Amino acid sequence: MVNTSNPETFDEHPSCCSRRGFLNGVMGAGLASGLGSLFDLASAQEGSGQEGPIFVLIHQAGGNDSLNTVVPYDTDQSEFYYTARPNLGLHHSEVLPLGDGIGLHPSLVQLKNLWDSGELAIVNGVGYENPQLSHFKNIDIWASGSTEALAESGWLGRFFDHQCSGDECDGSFVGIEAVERSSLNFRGKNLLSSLTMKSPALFKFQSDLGSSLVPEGFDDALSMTWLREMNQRQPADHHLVLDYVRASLDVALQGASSVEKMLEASDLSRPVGDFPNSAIGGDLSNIASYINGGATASTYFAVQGGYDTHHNQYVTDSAGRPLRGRHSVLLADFDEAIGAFAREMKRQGQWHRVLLMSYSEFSRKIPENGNHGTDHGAAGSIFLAGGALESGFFGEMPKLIEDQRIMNHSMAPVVDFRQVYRTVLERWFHIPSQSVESILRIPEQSHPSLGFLKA
Amino acid sequence: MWSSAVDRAQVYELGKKEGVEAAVSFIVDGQDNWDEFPFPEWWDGQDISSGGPTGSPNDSEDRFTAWYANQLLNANPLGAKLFKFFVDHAPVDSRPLLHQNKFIYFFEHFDLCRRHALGNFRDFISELTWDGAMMWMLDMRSSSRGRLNENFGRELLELFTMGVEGGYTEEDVIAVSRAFTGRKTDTQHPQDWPYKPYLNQEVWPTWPPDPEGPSTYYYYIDTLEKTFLGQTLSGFSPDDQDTRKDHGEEIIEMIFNHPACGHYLSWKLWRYFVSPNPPMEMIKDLGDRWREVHHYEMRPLLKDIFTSAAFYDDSVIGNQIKDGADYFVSCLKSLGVKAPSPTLTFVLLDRLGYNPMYPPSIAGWPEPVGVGNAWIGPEKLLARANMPLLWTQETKQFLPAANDYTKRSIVHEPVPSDFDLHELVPRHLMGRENIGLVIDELNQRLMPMHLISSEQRQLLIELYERDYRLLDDQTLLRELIRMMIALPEFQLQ
Repeated sequence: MVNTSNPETFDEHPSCCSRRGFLNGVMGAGLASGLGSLFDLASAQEGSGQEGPIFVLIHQAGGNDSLNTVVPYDTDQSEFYYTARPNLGLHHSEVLPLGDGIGLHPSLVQLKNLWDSGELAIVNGVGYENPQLSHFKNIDIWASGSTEALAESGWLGRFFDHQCSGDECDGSFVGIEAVERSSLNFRGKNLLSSLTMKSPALFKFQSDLGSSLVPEGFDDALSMTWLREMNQRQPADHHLVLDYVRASLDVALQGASSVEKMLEASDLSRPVGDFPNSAIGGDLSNIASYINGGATASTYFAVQGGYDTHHNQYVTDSAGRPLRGRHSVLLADFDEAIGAFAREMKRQGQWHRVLLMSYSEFSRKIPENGNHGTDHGAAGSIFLAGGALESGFFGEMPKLIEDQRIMNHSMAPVVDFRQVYRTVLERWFHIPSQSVESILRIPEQSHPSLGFLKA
Repeated sequence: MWSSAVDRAQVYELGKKEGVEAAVSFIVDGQDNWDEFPFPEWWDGQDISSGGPTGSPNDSEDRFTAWYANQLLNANPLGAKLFKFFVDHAPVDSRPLLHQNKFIYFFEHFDLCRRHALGNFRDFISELTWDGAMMWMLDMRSSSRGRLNENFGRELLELFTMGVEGGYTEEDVIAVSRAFTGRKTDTQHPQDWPYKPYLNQEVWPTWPPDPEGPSTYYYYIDTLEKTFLGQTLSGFSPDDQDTRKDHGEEIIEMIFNHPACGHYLSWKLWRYFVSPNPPMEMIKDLGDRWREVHHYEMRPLLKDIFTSAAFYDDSVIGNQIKDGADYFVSCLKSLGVKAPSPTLTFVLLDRLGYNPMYPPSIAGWPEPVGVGNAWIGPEKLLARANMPLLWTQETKQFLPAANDYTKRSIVHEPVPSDFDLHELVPRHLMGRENIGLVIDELNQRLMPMHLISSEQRQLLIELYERDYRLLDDQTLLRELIRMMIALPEFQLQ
């Protein structure tokens, strides 16, 4: 995502205070140590995989309308909900009831199943104080875990730095982003501790020259060898950007070999499970393949776009019966992808070590706008799913009348988003609280962990 | 810049003889030549989703991309670079426009970007507020008095003019959104709408709406009082609409009188052309001068940038990563080949991360600055390393994971074999004994900003000599060229 407000400059980058710092950072995972493999091939062949905790983060990009996702259809707020949303308000008969007069959007059938089987937690009122309403500011704030002006590293990037501070990672990837463009979430000092790979089929170095003049038995790896050797030779001068591109190319070439072997070893190209034929379905299917294949990564990231529903979010026909609008379609896709992912993880016996979390950069305003849509708002609900969490509601549902008045029509934050992050780091990855303090840069006292994971 | 080696030499000579300012003027004052790139004949077709050579719905995407890419490759280089800047500055997604007769808005939007590329920024923004594609992109078409949609108002301030730190408030966002209510597209009569002041089409809604007249579609204007940046714009009666249309132009006036607008654009242009860390004092001076003296004309601002001392600082030379389009253009120009078929052009740009049909968001594509930048992640570098093979070798499996449509299209329109090895390696330098000279020549031509080191040169000679026995000279030299284009040194400009 472009960042027009906060230049990602060299000076501001934590690893870039000195040239040596930068080189150590960049080269740490790549050139210097000789990159480890992307996958643990031995275990992939046995189909068993690794044993540590896995965290899958999904960004619902564009600003999901929380109030129509986790709906207060029968609470002391309901009257105002229907007043503020005469067209968009979801009715009693439509929602999937969770208890306490709160229901899920009708598209979220799989999530309702997860809720019923105690595998879904919902944290309400997640945000931060003095909210901004810009997509790009908020994307940076959530990704960096900081509301300060300059976002220079991501919260997961700093977590990776912590994980890889010794030789523990041994140059292997600890994170994979199933996105086309790397996100701020994963950016840390050790720039190459994670891999951005949208499509394993495209993660390939083309060696076949296809020339009729190439003799029989010729080594196809010629160009790859040339390129790798050239890339590792001393360049004419050490230039910050050039060094980064060199490190990235090295990862590309070694990663390509590694992915190729993986494709051969585990038939990764074959789709797993019954994922929806959509972008997020494909990305979660790939992530499921990596996990099944014994990838060394603990943390995965995917994005589902399209939530900026300023218009036609939900439509009804002339008789007032609900028809499928944009929001319904998006949530149905989201729901089917997560449902398929959970089933696949269960089938593979991995679900107990998976924690899945979805978030959006902001929620939308309380009242609908004039176009059967909603404009940018602030706090909202987020979902966590997995085989080893504490199911239930956390945080608090918004107080709509009060929020409408004092928050400029947005919902007020009850839980700081970094409390969710803290819970994940402390209770899922078992990071000592001192280290969590330095990763998140907020004191535990004011931002304690939440109960969706056992202490 | 995207010039060829010949152009560069010409400008360099001029600079040596007559000074930097003369060379800069030569570049900046060059005429744009958009009329050499007219819309293809099918642009206003009634149904864009069918027809074309293969009868596939992908055709319009492919052919639009080819039309655009051809301009990046062959138009006046500075004009093309600014064209791309504005396509990125105010990006529109083709998705809602890719059916029926709405695709013409997409063409008109790109035309808007190129007409003002070397023109006046204020005119660009002013027309943008009437732009059919943008009305779809940011919901302006459905924002009306009493049925407000903030999408356009917010991004007009945050992304197009003042920047997120521009000093406006949430109330200002709402005031701006209200001021642009009532501007609509009309999918029934696209040729009549949107209203285009620049084409002297004086079509304006009457009030109250005449059910018989063309105004039926667009009378929802908020004419009430508004306060923007602390100034109050008085309301007016809808009856006065023969003299006052809406508050839009007044809002634009106020935005452009505010210093934030000049600062924001100068900052963004500096990052686009020079380096990620503009000295802020200088940016403020540039922006103020642009507003007060140049009245938002692009050419004088570009001259100010290109003649400033900071532009020639050692630390910023060759510091930039080529974005996907930069790479595409420089790769093809280096190889001396034309753009491939529309379908391949579309697929290649897409794999390089620059698909002009589908911007990643309303903030456009990632800026090519900074470490960790998305343009040169491992996946993208592999795409860059694979692409030249289309021309340098006769490989048949050049596109990993091509879908059936792409495969069929490659059979239908194969890559032209217009790569001439001898453009890059003169005939008299063929042969094992000349390899050092060939490498020096390629080094200068392909990566003048970042030459390979003598150590790397030595390695290349060794590799060449080692493999000379295995492959014929042509195949090996072609592979050498492809490999140099894949080197990190080639990824910078």
